[in-house]
Amino acid sequence: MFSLLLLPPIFRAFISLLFAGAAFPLAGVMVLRMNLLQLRYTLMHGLLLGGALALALDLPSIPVYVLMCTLTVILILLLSRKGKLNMGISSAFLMVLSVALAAIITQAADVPSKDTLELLWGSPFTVQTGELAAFAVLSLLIILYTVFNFRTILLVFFDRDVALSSGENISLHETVMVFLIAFAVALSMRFVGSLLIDALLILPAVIALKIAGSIRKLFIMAGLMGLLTAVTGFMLSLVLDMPPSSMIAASSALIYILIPHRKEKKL
Amino acid sequence: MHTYLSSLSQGCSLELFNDGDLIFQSRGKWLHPLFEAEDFIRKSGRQYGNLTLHDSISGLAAAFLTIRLSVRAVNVDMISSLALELYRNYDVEVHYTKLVDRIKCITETMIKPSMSVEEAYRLLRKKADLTSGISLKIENLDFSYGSNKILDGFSLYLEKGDAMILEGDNGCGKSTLLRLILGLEKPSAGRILYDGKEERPPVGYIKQFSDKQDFPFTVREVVSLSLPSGRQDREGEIEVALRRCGAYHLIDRQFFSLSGGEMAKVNLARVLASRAKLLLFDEPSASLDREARENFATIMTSLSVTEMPTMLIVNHDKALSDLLPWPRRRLEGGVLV
Repeated sequence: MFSLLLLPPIFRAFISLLFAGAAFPLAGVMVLRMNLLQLRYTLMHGLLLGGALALALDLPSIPVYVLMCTLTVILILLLSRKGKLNMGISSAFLMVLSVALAAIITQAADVPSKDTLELLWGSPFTVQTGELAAFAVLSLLIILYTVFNFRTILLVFFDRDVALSSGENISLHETVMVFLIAFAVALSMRFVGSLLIDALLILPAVIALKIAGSIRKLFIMAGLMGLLTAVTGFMLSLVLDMPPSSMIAASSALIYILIPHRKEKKL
Repeated sequence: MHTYLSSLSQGCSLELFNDGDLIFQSRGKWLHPLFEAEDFIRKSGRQYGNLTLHDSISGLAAAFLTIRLSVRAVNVDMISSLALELYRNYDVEVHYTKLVDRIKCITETMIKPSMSVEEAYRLLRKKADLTSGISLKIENLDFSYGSNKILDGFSLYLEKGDAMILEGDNGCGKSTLLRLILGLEKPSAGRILYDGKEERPPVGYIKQFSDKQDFPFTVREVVSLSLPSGRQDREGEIEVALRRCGAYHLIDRQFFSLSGGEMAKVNLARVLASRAKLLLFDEPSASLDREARENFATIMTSLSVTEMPTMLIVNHDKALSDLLPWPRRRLEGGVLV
């Protein structure tokens, strides 16, 4: 199994996964607390459209995913802030539109069905060196943002009204967090496909939520759980010769079931 | 001879003794030496049981401040008859060199002998500009939810260090007013000035948390989020704020698992730690039992005579209003009545 790791595509996939596993669940914590599950669902649909475009036009997938996520976020923010639509309605509108366009594009460009399946399940072993760098940069950005803005994140997480009364530029931080989430979703798509993005992003955060006794520990545990589930899933996929995305998702789900809820000590 | 009866040291305007030992002296002017003495006692953290004082001049204002220091006996070089009477009313032993009818100072007319010590003290701190608060001026504010007019030319002025209770029925617009002050809502007309400017400073805000949440905020984290970045000794500040509110034992507990009374204490510690100059409270006693309400009122009363931030409580809990010695106004039909 370890000799397999020395093969360049597998090695690149493994290293990318280490970065994503440690950092993306931090964005997952933000998704959970800021109630952005709807947003990440819309992003996943937007990525299907991005993937269809990349396949139809034979473009590199990650730049198209990032561009698609950026456009989706901007559209949602514009619709919800300027258009006075709530995020749920604007997300639903964009989801339907994205999937419809993706279906039209794949049909019109005659994209092979095997390739379209990659959009749903991901393809980590095709990660290129440039894409590996993208994983590293985004992971570091997420970790550094969280460490250096921890107090502001606490404020936003605690209560939006209290945060706004503090005099901090909360809208700016919310926008930064939404974009970090969007980029994490975009890169996760490359690994686990649109169907299992939650395995890399959300489930480790949900596991951490079961056991962490503070917000600081929640972020740390989310990163550790992300690493644990990603490495476990990846190794299992090599041993069992199964798709990594499904193994990562299965590991996350299993760990979630096995780990009991933390009980608060009564003092 | 008692030490406080001897002459003041060269250049000094006030000397404070405990058990005959000099513990503090000041060369300051006006009422500042007395405020400095108060500051000295508070910061020393000690209980002085036998305080005596030698002051150069004492009018009514200085007498109130001296009495508040719990001084047993005073020696005054020049005293007004109003001050002499006040000292005697409070059983303070008085020695003086010269008795005059009045001291030529605005405070001699501003302060009335009938005032309580705390009332006079608050007024004098404001006069000495020793409050930590800012002024809040609300001018002709209009606000509607759709066709439902909530505020109709609402105006209010709070001086630096003022504390006020705003009462009114449910839905009359009290909470909306706070949201407007916080900038969370925009008025359709009128303006709000914070210390004369439109730019809003950081505000300490306490609201009700109606839902229990599953995110694991510790009490320590909740208090720490109000401490601006770069503040020294963060742990120390968190501890002081929590101890002051009687909530230090909760420091490692989960905030959202606390009772309403415990949450109120922690929220109060959060705004105290922020040292915000304007504090707004939205129905702070809604989930408090009698004991918790009394504790809350005690801390608020203490805050209004020590740091003196500008404070506005919106409230329809008569029991809390009765516990706070603050002016009350009522919001009705979108205006103050």
